[in-house]
Amino acid sequence: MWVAPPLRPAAAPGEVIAKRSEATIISASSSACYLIDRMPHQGQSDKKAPVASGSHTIDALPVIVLEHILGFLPAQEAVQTSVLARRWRHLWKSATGLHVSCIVDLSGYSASLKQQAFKER
Amino acid sequence: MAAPESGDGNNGAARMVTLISSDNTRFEVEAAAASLSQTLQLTILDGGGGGGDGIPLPNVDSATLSKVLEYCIKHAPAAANGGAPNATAVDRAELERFDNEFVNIDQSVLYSLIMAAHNLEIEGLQSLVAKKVADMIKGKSPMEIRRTLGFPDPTPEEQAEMNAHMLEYGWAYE
Repeated sequence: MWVAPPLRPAAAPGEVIAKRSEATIISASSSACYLIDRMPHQGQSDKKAPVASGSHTIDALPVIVLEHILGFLPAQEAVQTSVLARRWRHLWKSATGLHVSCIVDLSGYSASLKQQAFKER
Repeated sequence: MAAPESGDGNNGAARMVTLISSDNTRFEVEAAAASLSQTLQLTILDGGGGGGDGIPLPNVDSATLSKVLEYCIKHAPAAANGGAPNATAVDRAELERFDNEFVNIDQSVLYSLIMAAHNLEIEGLQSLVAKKVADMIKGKSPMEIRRTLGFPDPTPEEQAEMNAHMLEYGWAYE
């Protein structure tokens, strides 16, 4: 049987991990061994955010991950995240797969958006 | 393809690999499950992680790795079937139920998970958590989003910037 390692205090109360995987903890190793070449080290993959898995706030996530998250939001709501912090100001513009829906006549908006995009070039 | 009815398509006992978390805990897991990670897949294909050796994951702690492996073990059979085109509706519903429950966790754990999924290049897990975080934001006002995500209340200067932004992008706030 696999024995669950202790969760850090930040984990959700009541979170069940005992039943989880069939993975087996063999023993504690004292040597760090080698690093995986393709795995980014702390601070390498992004300007600011640490990449260790201990990042406990959303703002600690690298831009590429935040963009991925915003990609699941409708465009309108992604834009609203601009006001969270300066770092978020332009995130939505590069979010992957922004969901754009059109339920009203956007002809006026699209013209102004084009102007906006032109100005920003 | 004439894959066996049960098992992961390997001959005999499934190949196992060992992963070592940043806090030096060793996890033994089927190679097929660990290979959901694009990062690990290459190492495993090269024969790494077996025997007495383990694959060190210096950026993933044991609590996070156990969650990641739970996901991988659950999703490995479907992944082995090429995205499970033959999966029954029941199988798919079961995976969906698992996924929903899986991300029903504390925010800080979600962020650790998405970081690990990003580092290990586990696409399905990245998207699952990203979608969950997006769902936490959806339908909320900027102030509600700030509070949900644990941002401090804006300073007067930030509030002024927020107001200016809302004027500029008025269409997004209607």
